[in-house]
Amino acid sequence: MATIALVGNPNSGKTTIFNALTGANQHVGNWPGVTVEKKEGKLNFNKKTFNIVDLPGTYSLGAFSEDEIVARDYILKDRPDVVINVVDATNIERNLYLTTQLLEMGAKVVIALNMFDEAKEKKITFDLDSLSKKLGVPVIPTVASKRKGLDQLIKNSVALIDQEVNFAPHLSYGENIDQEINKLKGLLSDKNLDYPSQWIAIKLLEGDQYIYDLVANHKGLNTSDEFISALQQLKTRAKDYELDIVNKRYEFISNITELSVTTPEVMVVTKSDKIDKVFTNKWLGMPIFALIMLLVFQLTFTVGEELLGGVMARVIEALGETIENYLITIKSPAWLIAFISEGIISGVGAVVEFVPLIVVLYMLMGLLEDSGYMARAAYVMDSLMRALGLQGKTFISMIVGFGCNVPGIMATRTLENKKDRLIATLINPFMSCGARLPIYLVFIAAFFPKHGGLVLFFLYLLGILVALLMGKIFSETLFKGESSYFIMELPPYRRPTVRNVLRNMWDNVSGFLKRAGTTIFAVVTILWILAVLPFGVEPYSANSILGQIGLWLAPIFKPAGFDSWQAAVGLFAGIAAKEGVIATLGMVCAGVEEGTALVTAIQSAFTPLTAVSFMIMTLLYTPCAAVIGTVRKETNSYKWALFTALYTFAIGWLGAVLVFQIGSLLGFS
Amino acid sequence: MLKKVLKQIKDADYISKTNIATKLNKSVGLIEDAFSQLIRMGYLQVNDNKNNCNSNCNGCPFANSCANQLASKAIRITEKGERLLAK
Ligand SMILES: Nc1nc2c(ncn2[C@@H]2O[C@H](COP(=O)(O)OP(=O)(O)OP(=O)(O)O)[C@@H](O)[C@H]2O)c(=O)[nH]1
Ligand SMILES: [Mg+2]
Repeated sequence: MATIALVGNPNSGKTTIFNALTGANQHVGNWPGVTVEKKEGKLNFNKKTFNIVDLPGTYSLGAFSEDEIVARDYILKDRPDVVINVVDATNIERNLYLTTQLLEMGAKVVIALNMFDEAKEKKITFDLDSLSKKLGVPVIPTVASKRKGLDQLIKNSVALIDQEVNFAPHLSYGENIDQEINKLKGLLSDKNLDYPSQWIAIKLLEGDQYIYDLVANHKGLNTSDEFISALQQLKTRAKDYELDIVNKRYEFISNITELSVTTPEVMVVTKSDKIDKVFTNKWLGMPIFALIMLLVFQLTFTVGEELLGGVMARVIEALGETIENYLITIKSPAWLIAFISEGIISGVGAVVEFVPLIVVLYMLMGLLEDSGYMARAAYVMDSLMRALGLQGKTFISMIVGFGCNVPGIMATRTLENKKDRLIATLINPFMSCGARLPIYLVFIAAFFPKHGGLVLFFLYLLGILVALLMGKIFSETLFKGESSYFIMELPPYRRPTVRNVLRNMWDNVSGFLKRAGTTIFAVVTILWILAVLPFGVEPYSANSILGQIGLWLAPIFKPAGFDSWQAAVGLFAGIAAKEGVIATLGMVCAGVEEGTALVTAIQSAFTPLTAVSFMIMTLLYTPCAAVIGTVRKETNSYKWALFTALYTFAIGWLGAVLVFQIGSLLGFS
Repeated sequence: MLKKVLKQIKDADYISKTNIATKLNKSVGLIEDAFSQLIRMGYLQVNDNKNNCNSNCNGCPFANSCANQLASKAIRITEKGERLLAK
């Protein structure tokens, strides 16, 4: 029984043809030893029965995937009588690559020019005669889904079965390579190999490892000195042979399609490229990026505040009361009630309260990301950074740092150059991570409720600017050397999908919540213990251990305008985890006076100016312990970890002091 | 064609496959193939930001966010590629 195999790119319509030909007779079988499925079925045509085989879809027949090897081994070893190459007519250039490889194998090929209806719709026209003549094989237009052209296809295929034709293409790979092929072919002939010698020769020149191994283990060949030395020579000379061969295939295709396929003049510049002319423009790109970010922050506040604002706060308050009442009714010890309501609810609650805003912010960021805009932003920054002598790709790690600096620093691994990587690592903490958001949000609520978006925008911007400045300084002082140069790829814009945006948002928010439940919980617990000890002192007062630490640290921040022990202790806790700043403030402030909202407490402890200097301090100062640990791990050096912790503190302090001093001079308070 | 694509990459500020496709009058699918061929043969090197964080991230609550953040790709012409262009 003669066999007809269906080969083609994925999604070209092989299975549709297979089903149309075999009807209900098909069954699914497994290849021995491989996981790839092939289907086999029977076709009755002209009183004869044919075996039809549906092979896995592949783009080429190299040795680069299991599918490819399965498909090519089937064609070369099982030798089907005819190979029907299913070609997607709407994408003929790409599909013909596989065709050239089939021809190289010497297979008897019939082309099913499938999706002919779609091609027509797209106004692609074919000169079928010329196509067929140049390829040297029959070309049959088909619309498999409507069973059109299939009779013709089968008639042509069956006709080929008994025909003795040499389908080896009239494909020259250039003089040099053709010579090499002939030489190898001579050595390979009459060695009784599983594959045609011409094909093996080509594969050897392409550096196909699978075939190299095959000939190296072949008894007739690995004893032939002549062949071994030929292979040896090949290895030294065959530098760009592979490229040349692949290139020739593309040229061969071009030559064929140029004259026999016409595609309508499609949009000379695509929409994406038009938009990019503006978005990545040298002068416009940066302002547009800034504007978009401003919009994002503004929207975060409008939506987060006006629509969702206070929801979470009320939930937490209600929850807190319920739990407290419950604890009282079951007569829990006073310390437990205090721990739960004043420690956990006030502390962790202060952090969780901002979940709605964070949801909105990361949703908007997800939109930018999924639409493809973020890649443009990275590109715009890339240019700026290169102009500063920094590795442009650093900005990608910086964007990741907006979520969390730990993965941000991890992302610097993609920078190959040691110098680039170290700089990117050292400046990443200035990227304002998600954990710092609640701090800003509380202070904004207390002092700048009308300008939340703007304040956030300037904080993030300041973080970026400080990072760039420090990067510049580092690259000129600490480390000198060449940066390697990567070009960014801008994917086409697309409509963001709800799924992607939600997933992106959830990844960030769940991280945030997880931290609230673990790290922040632990930090709050420790701080609470410090705040109520030693026994006998008034809890949460300056006399507690926590208060004493705060008092001891507070003078450091006097020049920056905030020298309360609460602020100092908050910053101290922030080194354990950034949310610790707000959790601590929530706890120590709520404890002072029953029922005092954190915002009110902060309004009485800070002024607008000191609020700004405090926010700048939290933006820039020492990153959290996890980040410092990551710096150590990634640089493999305690020295750099310590350096990171200290220099960021110095920068943060300097920034806060400058803002406070200059602000005071200018008459702000 | 492969060399032309390589040249386009060399001369561009950023890589847009649709752009290259229109310039060389080829389909985007074909340009995508050309990229994967060039990468496979070692003339180009991709540096994508995906999956560089799986290893040490277990303890990091933001681990998820880094794997899917900015799946941007950057591409570099390797020395082999530069040599080819110089020829
Ligand atoms: N418009 C149109 N659609 C077609 C034609 N042939 C197949 N299709 C559709 O194209 C899609 C892919 O067809 P399949 O037969 O699954 O393709 P395949 O080559 O088996 O794909 P893989 O198994 O992934 O390699 C299906 O949705 C078919 O209905 C055609 O001639 N015209
Ligand atoms: Mg299929």
